[in-house]
Amino acid sequence: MGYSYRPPMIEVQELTKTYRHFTAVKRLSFRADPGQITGFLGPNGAGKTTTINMILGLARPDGGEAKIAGTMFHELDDPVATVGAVLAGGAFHDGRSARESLLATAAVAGLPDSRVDEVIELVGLGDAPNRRVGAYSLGMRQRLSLAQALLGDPQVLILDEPTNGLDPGGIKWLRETLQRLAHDQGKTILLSSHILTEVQETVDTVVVIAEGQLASEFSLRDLDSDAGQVIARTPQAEGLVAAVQRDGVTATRDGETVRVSGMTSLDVGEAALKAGIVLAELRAEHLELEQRYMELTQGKGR
Amino acid sequence: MDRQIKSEWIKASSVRSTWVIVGLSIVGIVAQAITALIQGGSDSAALTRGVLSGSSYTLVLMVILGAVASSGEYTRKSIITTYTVSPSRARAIVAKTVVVIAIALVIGALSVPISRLVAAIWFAVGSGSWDAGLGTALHYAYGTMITYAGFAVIGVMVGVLCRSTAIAVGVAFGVLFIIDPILAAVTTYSEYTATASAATMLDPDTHQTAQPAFGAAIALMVFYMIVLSAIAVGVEQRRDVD
Repeated sequence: MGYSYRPPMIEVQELTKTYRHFTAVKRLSFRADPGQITGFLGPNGAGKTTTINMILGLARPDGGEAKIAGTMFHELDDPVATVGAVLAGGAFHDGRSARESLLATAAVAGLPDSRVDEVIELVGLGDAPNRRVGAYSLGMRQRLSLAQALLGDPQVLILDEPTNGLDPGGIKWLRETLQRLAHDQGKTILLSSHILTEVQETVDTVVVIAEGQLASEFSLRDLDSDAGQVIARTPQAEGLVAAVQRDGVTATRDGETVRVSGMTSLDVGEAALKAGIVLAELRAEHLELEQRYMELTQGKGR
Repeated sequence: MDRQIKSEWIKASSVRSTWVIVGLSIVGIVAQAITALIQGGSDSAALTRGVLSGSSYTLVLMVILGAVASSGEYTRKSIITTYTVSPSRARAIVAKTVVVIAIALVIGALSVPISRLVAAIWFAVGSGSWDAGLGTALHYAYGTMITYAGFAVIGVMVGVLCRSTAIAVGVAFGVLFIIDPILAAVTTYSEYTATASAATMLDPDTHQTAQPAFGAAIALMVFYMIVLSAIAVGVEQRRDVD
């Protein structure tokens, strides 16, 4: 299989934004690649929303540039088909119905009304398309925002704190939807959040910013295989400890719980399967990511 | 641009405030006609002018229509959606203005037929007469349509500049109905105010010395619309959306 270069769909270069004497974003550079969910993390006031606003042309940078699919946002020929955004907890007029809100966007993009009905069904709002947005819960508004973002079937999705207001079921649904869009359909997804635990099961790569500057950029997979801890629960705990023993792997048992360091959860699962061990629970604990995030952002909230 | 205008029409027609303003505008036209008929007198030409002249109540509502259409997007944050699906802010503002002008023109076009209907009912029930011919009616309709459209555009642009419905309505009223009359008190400026040109166009057959002629009034209104639009679009293109 030949190597094929996939250029970044979102490319931020030396982006800077200053409000009077306050620098919200300072020479920030990062990229988001196709087929991946890039977590855009940082504490409150780190500059995440300002950065996203600059990427989407809502705010003018004082320096640097942001490109989507190689083009500045305001130069995109068909923005609805290129990038979809979920911002500000759903930017909709309360007096309009969900369907009318989407029809207005579909009209700009020249999309048929049937596409509006499709995305409404897709995000699970099929029961209330004609209800006024003002009567929607925060979670429903987030789903409507996602429907709007998906309307033009864009290659790039930018989501600013999309889990706000979602219940656990909604968060799970969002995670599965985003993973399907990125991993199965090859879309580029930039997902901002200030809550690490909400996105750690979702993202593939992480960009951490603090005080408007890049703190770190890394792949979650690398981190996971480097130092993640896998927790398994099984009535055959002793057998599992024996099954995973090898160089570089540490396994400790506490009752029915086994903690394994130096292996991914996939490796542990495979080892258990080969040994005929029944697992009641298997999960990766991103202790290292959490520690790293805290180190990078400690005391840098604004 | 067609798609953008269609989108703005969907937005305008899908909110209750648009239809409330349209309804109140019709009420304003009826109220103006009834007021003129009550105050009528024996001069049928004066009565005709009074009944057919555009409603000043409705003129105020046109400013509100424009201001609500534009500033409401900022108040409700839906401007974020508007600008993320349409990166050209100038096109978005122009499309919204076209829709507001269309609504104002329709209301202006309805003004004379509604006034004539009110007068016909009034005369059928009571007594009196008037002498409104088709030429006079068209003259009044033409002037009223342009005035309503012009004031609606002023409302849109003030709304874009203020980004708040309450402030936009307050500023528009302050400029049009307080500062403008004060400037009109200065003799050299009196013929060039927006309100003076509106007075001419709403009642073209009653010409006061402090008002511009009908053609000049139209030119003045178009001038104010273009200058204010250029300022609003220019400012908006340089501002951030929070």
